[in-house]
Amino acid sequence: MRPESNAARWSGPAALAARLFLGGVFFYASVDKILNPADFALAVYNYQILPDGLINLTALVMPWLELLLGVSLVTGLWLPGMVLWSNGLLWVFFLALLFNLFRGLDVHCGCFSTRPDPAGLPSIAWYLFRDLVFLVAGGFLSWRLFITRCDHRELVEHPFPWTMRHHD
Amino acid sequence: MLRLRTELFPRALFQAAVVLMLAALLALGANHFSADPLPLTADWSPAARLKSATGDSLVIPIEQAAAFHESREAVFVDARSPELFAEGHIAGAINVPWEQVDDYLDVFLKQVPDASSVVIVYCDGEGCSLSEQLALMLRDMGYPNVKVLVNGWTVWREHGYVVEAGSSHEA
Repeated sequence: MRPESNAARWSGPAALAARLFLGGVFFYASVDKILNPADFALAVYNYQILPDGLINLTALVMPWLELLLGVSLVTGLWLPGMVLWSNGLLWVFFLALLFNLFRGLDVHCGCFSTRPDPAGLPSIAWYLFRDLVFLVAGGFLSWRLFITRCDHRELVEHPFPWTMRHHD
Repeated sequence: MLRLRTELFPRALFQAAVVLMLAALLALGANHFSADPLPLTADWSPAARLKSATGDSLVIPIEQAAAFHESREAVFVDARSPELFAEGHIAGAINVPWEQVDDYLDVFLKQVPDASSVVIVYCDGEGCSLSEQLALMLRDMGYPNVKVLVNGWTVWREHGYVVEAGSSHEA
């Protein structure tokens, strides 16, 4: 039996869907924060995790990182690094939320919008659940990228199967 | 047979580092040319944040707040949710939950008709911004003597001052 090619593992419908989903999430998450850095800095401050000196820097850089991640995941550019960052960020968000859940600090997550929703804040449990869904997509992509059933190494060079010639 | 593609790791780390630098360059560049740039580091202490927002400090020290409470010269406003308020609050405080502020403003205006009243707003936790936001709003509404008791609920209990439980008083 011919093993499934790496490119197919990477760009099959499921992997493509996960990339577009996660890429879209990161892209969407970045826009409001890039436009309102001061509000996002306040959201970062409210997590009460980072030292004061790092809050503004984080609030400035992280949204741009998310924007680049979104573009990369959708276009398939530099996937190993991007999948690494995606999972890293999602875990940081998850642990930060979990940390505040356990110490009883009800933060507005600042995930997608820098302004709290006046119609009642969703709870940290909801943020955690949502982040878990993203983590499933991120974990799936990691599995597809970093675990292989064969030794083909064309995976990253051919993120889209229709751009690749079949040799056999 | 499954195999971990360790040969991808150096590339992944390299790409991750380059992207972080690219994001930092874009962020700092965009911030530099922004009409309203964010300082790269800032003083995030509650007093400094309130001061930068108002020009003069909104923060009232706990001892002064307690003195106002004892002499009944100040109105205490709890900016937390009605549920937390019902569990316990500073004695005599009225509840104006910031998340539902539109629904509670009438009660506040009815109970505090005198705009020159000293109003002390509090919530819970050093990082809680509810009281700060409510205080700024009340200032905008024409109550100049609004103060914020930072981390009010916790600090108040730690000092052993008078508390009570139950829902908001009817006007």
